[in-house]
Amino acid sequence: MSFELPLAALDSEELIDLRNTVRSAATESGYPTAVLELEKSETGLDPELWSLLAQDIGLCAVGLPESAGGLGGLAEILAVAEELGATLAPVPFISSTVLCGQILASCGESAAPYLERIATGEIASPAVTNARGLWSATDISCTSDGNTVSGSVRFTPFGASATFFVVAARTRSGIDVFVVEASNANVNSLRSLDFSRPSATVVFEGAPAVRLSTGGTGEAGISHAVDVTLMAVAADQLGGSQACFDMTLDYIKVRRQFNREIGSFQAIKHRMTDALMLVEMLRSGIEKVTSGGAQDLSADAAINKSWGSDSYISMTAEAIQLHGGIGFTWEHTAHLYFRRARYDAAFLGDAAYQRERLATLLNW
Amino acid sequence: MKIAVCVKQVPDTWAEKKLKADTSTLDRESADGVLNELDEYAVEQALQLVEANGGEVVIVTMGPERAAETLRKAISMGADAGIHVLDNNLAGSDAIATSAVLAKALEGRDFDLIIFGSESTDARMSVIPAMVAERLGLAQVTFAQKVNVDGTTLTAERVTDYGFDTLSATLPAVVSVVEKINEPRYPSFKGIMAAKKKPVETLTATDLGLDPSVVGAGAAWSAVADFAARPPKPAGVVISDEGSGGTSIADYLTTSKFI
Repeated sequence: MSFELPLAALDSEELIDLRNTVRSAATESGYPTAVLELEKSETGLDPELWSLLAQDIGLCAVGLPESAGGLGGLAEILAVAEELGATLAPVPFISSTVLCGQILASCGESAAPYLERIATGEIASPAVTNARGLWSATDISCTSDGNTVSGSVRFTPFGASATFFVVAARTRSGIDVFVVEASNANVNSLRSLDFSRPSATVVFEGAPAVRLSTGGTGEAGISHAVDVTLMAVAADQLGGSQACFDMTLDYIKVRRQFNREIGSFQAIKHRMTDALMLVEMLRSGIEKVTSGGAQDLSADAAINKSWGSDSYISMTAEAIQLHGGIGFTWEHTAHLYFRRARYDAAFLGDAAYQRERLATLLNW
Repeated sequence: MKIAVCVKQVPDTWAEKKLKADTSTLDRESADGVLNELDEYAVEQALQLVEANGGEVVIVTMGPERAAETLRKAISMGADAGIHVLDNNLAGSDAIATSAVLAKALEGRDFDLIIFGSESTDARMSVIPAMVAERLGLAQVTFAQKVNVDGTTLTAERVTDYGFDTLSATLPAVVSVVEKINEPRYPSFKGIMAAKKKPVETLTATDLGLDPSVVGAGAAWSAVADFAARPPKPAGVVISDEGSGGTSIADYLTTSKFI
């Protein structure tokens, strides 16, 4: 691989400023509540918010090589993903900027024009997974003769909004990276449980493709990009979990029953303590990586994604339960986080899959 | 053109503000400090004018050490430099002293335009822009909802009770802006990265040649004699409707002079 993702570019004060900017831009645009308005949306994307975050604030270039106008490293990717996760922002940061961006960054010079397109805010969608939505070098959906790509890929994130697809295809020499323009693909939007995380089934029928890696070297680049992306998903899970914890804590301090705040009941305190531990374990796992403590990113990515997938689902379920009746209403945001938790858990492999992967990585 | 924007660090708009028991001044440690919201509009206006006409934007603030965060936030929106007047002797300065300090920090630097937010969200006096203009002998155009610069002529719409007046002035001038004027930008990733590399000049009252006896709490023209916490909200009145609920509500509204 020709590109090494730096650990961080900003100091801690600047990182807080970046977090504040991202959080304010999303909340002042109405999120998380505005996710409700996307229920009937064809694309599941908020183009105005994406334009603000990607172009005005510059998030579409985070973690990309400097030669493509990129800035920041892994710590910035994870900080942005956490803030976007806390606000449920319906934007393709994780799938376009992080996953497609990191795959393209591993391809060297040939990918430069596509990296520049991503760095100016165009949306790319990754088509690298198998029928179960997993990245596995032994089981991928597409094949290529070197000039065209054929195959059908399910669950491509923000597929309906993408201008091009970054495709993993099996060639005679192994797995390589190709780009297919959206105009050469058949895209069918899928109805998603999480309104803010749309996906599509994309069919390539001998689609003209530009080959960006040769000799099967694409596999290592994609694997690394997937590991970075799993960390970003874990950060999204952390942002959402913390938001649910905070809103539940606020609620139990004001909701009264039997003439006292429900937060004063021991049974509620115990549940909140357990919930806090779920969130804090995930925060510690992610901070280990951002502080440079990860020896093997694949292992840490598997650990954080597996813990994050289970804990985010538990946290969102607790948030609904502890909010009582109001937590079950359509207007409350609790179910929106619950939906995101389900999506995040499934994306690129659920907790059980990640644990299995970890066991293999550690030679258990 | 060379534009100065004066900004203030204020307690977070949503935080509960407290006064210190010993000095009756604002307890700045009790809440997070943020860039005064109306000053963001002033910064945005300066950036737009410089983008259209060329030039530079300098952010000016007076405040304790942590006001540097606010200065950096304003610079990260895209400004070119900063001036921080930092001096413990300035603590407790009233509006008159503050305007003297800002005027000294601004004078002799050839600013074409000095922009303020129309008020701070903590003190809410709206007098500093006028006082600074008076001290510097410059034209003042306050409460502007629109500002245009053409050569050395400034045209602005000044908000009034009945609509707005269109005013013009010759540069250099002092302007204060209201929130209708624009939509402030968010600091960009690049802006945040660049902010710490931009030059910031830190000055004391002595550097500005100010007589210590005219600034600080001791020189304030007004003093807080006493203060008390806001009384807790009284409990609401529950009216049980036994056929006369409507009348009771009407009576309540009449006594409260709503109807």
